[in-house]
Amino acid sequence: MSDTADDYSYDYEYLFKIVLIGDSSVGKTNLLSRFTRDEFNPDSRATIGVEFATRTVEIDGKRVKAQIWDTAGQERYRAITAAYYRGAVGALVVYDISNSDSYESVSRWLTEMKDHADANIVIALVGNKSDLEHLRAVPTEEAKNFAAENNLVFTEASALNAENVELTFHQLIKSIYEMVSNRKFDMDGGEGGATNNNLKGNTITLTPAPKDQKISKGSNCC
Amino acid sequence: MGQLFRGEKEQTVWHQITIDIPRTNPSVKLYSFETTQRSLEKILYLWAIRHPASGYVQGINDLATPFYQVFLNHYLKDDVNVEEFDPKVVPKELINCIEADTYWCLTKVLDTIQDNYIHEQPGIIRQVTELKNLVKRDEPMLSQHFENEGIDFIQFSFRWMNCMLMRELSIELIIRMWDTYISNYPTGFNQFHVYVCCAFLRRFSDQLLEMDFQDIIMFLQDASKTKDWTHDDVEMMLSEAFVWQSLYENATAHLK
Repeated sequence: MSDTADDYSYDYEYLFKIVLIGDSSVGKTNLLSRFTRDEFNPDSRATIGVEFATRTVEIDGKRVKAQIWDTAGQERYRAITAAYYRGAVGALVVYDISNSDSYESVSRWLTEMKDHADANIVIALVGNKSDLEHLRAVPTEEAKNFAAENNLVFTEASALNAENVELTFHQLIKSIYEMVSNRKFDMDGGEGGATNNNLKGNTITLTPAPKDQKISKGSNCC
Repeated sequence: MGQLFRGEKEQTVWHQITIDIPRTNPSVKLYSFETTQRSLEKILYLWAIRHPASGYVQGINDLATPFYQVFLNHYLKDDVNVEEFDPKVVPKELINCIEADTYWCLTKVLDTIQDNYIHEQPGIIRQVTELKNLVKRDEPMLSQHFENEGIDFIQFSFRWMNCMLMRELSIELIIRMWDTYISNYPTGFNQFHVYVCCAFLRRFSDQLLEMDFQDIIMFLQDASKTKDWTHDDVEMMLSEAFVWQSLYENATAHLK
């Protein structure tokens, strides 16, 4: 797996929509800015609505563009943010290792995904703020076991010192890639047709330029 | 404020407020000071527990700040920059007055947009729909371009409604803009604001027409596009909004 510095290149074969969810103040926005721009802002304002960023990575020799939607964490925004799950093929559920409440909310976020996202969505769990080891409130083993039981890709990372941020996103993108190449996402019907239609519709509209459409047409672009 | 912690719901509200206070207007020094932060905490918490249908919603913290800044500035000498000022030297009685005045004004504004912050935020959904219809009417090419690119208005304008453009303009310009909103009370923050959002979007029409989905979203969510704006830019935008509002007001058929 190697990365390309050029985020804006239209030259990619897969486009994956990924959503970032989790409680308020667990560090969703900074995980995203660390991954897409290698930046960390200790003063970042609370995200309102959604914001997005992209990065293109290479997996198995294929260029994969991750279009990542960052959401607001507060309960009140759930009704709105659920609309953004549409068309998502991956989700990163974030908690803060120094905040046990944010970890306890994870199961609520998973239920949220079940209710609103495609049944085949690939979900990863990440314990952020691993730099705060001295304030740790969630044992690694506990979260690891929980992730295993629920079939989630698991990591601990730190947006602050960049530890495991690459790994976290790469693992998720790779899992999505494998799932898509195994054609679990049946684009032309199958069960959950309505959701698949949404997925398909979104993919077409999100494809940025006519020349992409040419590139992606022959592939399993999702 | 311990005596006001009555139950779990209040604890949740308090927790959310204390998370958001330190990240309110981070680029303006005034909001990094202890005295300012404690004042905002009190104002927001009191408002929240007295309005249980909405409670505290992220973004309301932003809305309190223009008032706090204006009322604080009232007590400062002309050569003092309020945005850099540490209010710890202000006598307690004056801080109490500033807090009370801020609370009162914030309450009056929120009275007119309370639907923006209740469950499912129907006020915002309505404003976003109105904006979409206005753009369709006034700027059909842009409207068509957004449609072709798969842009959903809620993707970029939710924040414009939720935070009254506070994330898009400097607080100094917001104070100028809200002055007009307040003079249009009680419709300034709900109806007139939508016309302002339309005028704001139109400012970037030519650029947006050249962009694809990704660039449009990135451009609209990036606040730096207004970093060189002056009062003139805001006044132009307000005038344009006023003209459109006068034209369409009470003529709902135009927007169908």
